[in-house]
Amino acid sequence: MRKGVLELCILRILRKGEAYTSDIVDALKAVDLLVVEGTIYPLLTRMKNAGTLTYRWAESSSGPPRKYYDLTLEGEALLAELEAAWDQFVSSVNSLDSSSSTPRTS
Amino acid sequence: MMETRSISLGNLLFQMELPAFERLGAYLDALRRALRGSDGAEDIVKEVEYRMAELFQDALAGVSRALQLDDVERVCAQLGDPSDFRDEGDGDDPSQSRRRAGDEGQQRGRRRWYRDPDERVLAGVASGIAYRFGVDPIVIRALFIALVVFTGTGFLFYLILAAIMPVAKTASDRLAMKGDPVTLASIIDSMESQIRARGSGQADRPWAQRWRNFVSQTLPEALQALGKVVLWTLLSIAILSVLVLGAFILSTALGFNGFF
Repeated sequence: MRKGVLELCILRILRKGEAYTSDIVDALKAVDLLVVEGTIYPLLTRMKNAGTLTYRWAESSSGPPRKYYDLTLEGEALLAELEAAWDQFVSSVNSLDSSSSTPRTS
Repeated sequence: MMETRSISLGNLLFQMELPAFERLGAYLDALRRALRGSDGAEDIVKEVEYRMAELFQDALAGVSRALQLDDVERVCAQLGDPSDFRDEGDGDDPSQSRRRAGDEGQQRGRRRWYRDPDERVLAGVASGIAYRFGVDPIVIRALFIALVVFTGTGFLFYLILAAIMPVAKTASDRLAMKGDPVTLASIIDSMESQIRARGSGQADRPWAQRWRNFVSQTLPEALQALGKVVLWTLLSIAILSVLVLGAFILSTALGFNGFF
């Protein structure tokens, strides 16, 4: 579940333009969605294999080489799809709260 | 005084105190072991090394000193335990993930054998098998009934399968049973249909849904899937007849003639 949400978040981060792994990690950590960085690497690899992301290596003048990720067209389509599913999910969950007339389950 | 090693990590040079050096080596070894056989393991290890180099660089903050055990521990804690690097979407069978990586794009994942607790009549075996082969459960149930009526072994067969096949307990089990890739959208889908089924509280709901599934996705796959089911049935009939024949030969050999 959490990984599914992470997938959506990664796509959202990359919508603004390409980012290298540490940018993605920092962005996710800033909003408390990532506890240990380890989970992100296999996820990025899987998304790349699924054709939703591409990457390129870039040399950095100040540090180690950086792997920049970007969305593919397929990734953009998936993002739109996941966002629609997410909105629906959130409204489903919220609607359960507001309809207090539903029978109580003990 | 402390002995140091110099290492190259992410094309950068670092001096490390010996305990720090050993800890780093152990971590990277454990990571390689944890990732063995999964997709892009080499790339991940390389990228982790680069990330570590970056974090060490931050820790040193331009000061020229050797890295200590503390520095390495902090970076390892930040990256997480090597087992955290395993992708649960990959499943536990590395050959399977490799096979899937070979397929193009996002195909439906491999369906697994699970008993279906949601649409069961007895133990959910037939519904589970139906998902496995992508056919309507009715087909499998009819086959089981035919086996019971015509060979008398159908029920035993059912019991064996019920004992072998695990129940699809969690959402991801259910998705594996149905062959959906475990993604946010698919988990939400399955949650939604569960919520809807529970909210309506009516038994006809899953039936309606099943019918819709049958028309929209099962039917196009039906020919291929039916072929598989036929093959599977023929195979089980072949095995059963060998068993029956064996029992017959054995009983005649033993001189037990009352049976036939």
